[in-house]
Amino acid sequence: MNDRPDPTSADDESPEITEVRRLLADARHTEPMPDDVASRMDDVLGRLGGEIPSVRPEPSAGDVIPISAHRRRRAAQLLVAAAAIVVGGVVVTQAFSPSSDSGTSAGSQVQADDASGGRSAPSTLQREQPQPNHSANEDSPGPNPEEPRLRNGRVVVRSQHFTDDALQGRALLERSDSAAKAGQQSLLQACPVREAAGAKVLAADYRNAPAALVFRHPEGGTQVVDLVVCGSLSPIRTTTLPAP
Amino acid sequence: MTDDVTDSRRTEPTDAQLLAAHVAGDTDAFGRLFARHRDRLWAVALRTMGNPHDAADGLQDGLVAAYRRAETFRGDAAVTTWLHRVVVNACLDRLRAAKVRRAEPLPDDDAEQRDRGSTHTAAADDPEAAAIRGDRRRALLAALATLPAEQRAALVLVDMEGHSVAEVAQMLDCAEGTVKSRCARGRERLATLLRDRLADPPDTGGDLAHGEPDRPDTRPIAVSPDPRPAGEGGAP
Repeated sequence: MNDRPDPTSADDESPEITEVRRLLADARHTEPMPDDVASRMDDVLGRLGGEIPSVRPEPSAGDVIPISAHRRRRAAQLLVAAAAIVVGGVVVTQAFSPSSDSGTSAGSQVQADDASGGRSAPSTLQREQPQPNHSANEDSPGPNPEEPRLRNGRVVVRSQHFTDDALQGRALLERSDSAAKAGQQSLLQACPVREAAGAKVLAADYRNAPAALVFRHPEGGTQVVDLVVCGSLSPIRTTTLPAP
Repeated sequence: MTDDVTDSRRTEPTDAQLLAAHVAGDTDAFGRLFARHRDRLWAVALRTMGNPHDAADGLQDGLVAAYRRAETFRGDAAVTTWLHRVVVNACLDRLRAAKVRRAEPLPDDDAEQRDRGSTHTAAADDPEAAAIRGDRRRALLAALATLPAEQRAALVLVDMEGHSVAEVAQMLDCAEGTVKSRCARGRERLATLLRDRLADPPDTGGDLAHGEPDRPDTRPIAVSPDPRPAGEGGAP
């Protein structure tokens, strides 16, 4: 590369500038990547290798979004919206049916949630409350629906239940003892995240990728929570919870 | 496509082929691609960030971003240019986030070279000249660390790494005139900061009146805020 033509005209350069450029060229780092850094990068690549290809951070401005991915995402959104409308209709019908009492409507709510994967039409209130979920797939919580599911000490954050899992993660964080906090620290050592003042961080697992939930300092009765995949500075999900 | 496959059996796949294979789901392709360029990417990250710790963080950010955004590579630049762009932008993002401009000397180079038995160690040279050269290198890196991050990145890519202005413009996503402007301002600033040292003849051992010949000059670099705005314009 150094045999390329001089990128800027050197004809009118002062001797000082020429000497600066010579010093800069001499200061070119020619050593190979240190072994510890190489190992770290290999580890990162290894973790990325297990990542589902479709799991990528939300595109920032300027990123090119493949049209096929855009169509798939839009189709999925439409399906979810249609399911929510159907479930919402069933719930409303059950709730206002003269023959139903409060117990049956509650039961219907659970059934409706089952049918929609644990999420009915997401009103603000519903979005902020953990919903029971009894599906037995990857998205299912732990044995106790109020307890967050853990994987290798990390709170599993489900893509369709981000707010619920964030709520459960916050509860876990609040009741964790010093040993648990120390464990969290060690998990987060390899996952630096940009923390705002007063923020609390919880190690998380998002689609089999190490991540962190960043609970910002509550303000005005609400608390913003970011989900950051390790190795990225920008959050890929953000939600707002009621302040604890 | 058949020809490409046949060729790839005979020869190493190109960078573009590896990136395409990664996008297609080849789990090893990106690792091979990164292995080809990691030393230069490391050098750029190290010089841009100023210390090994932050450089590793910046490089990791870039690695993850490149891995995940491989689909966004449009092929209008070389893959290595794109990789440099992603890594440099990741480093600049970190620098902007930290908003910390380090002015302390950067001891990593000398320590690393001693540890690895660099081919440029003083053993093969005149010790006095080596000491002077090491001193100037440290002074330069310390001065470089005081520059605005964008100027520093431009100088690292153009003057240290030897990329063309056109390539660096693609890496930094700006006009060529902006790259030239950043380089010119950065060089002028470095010349000001290093004026005392630049007065020394470069290869004669320098003016030894400044100190013992086998002891690096520990004079601090006069660092003052750049009186000019960091704005960018056309070529100087």
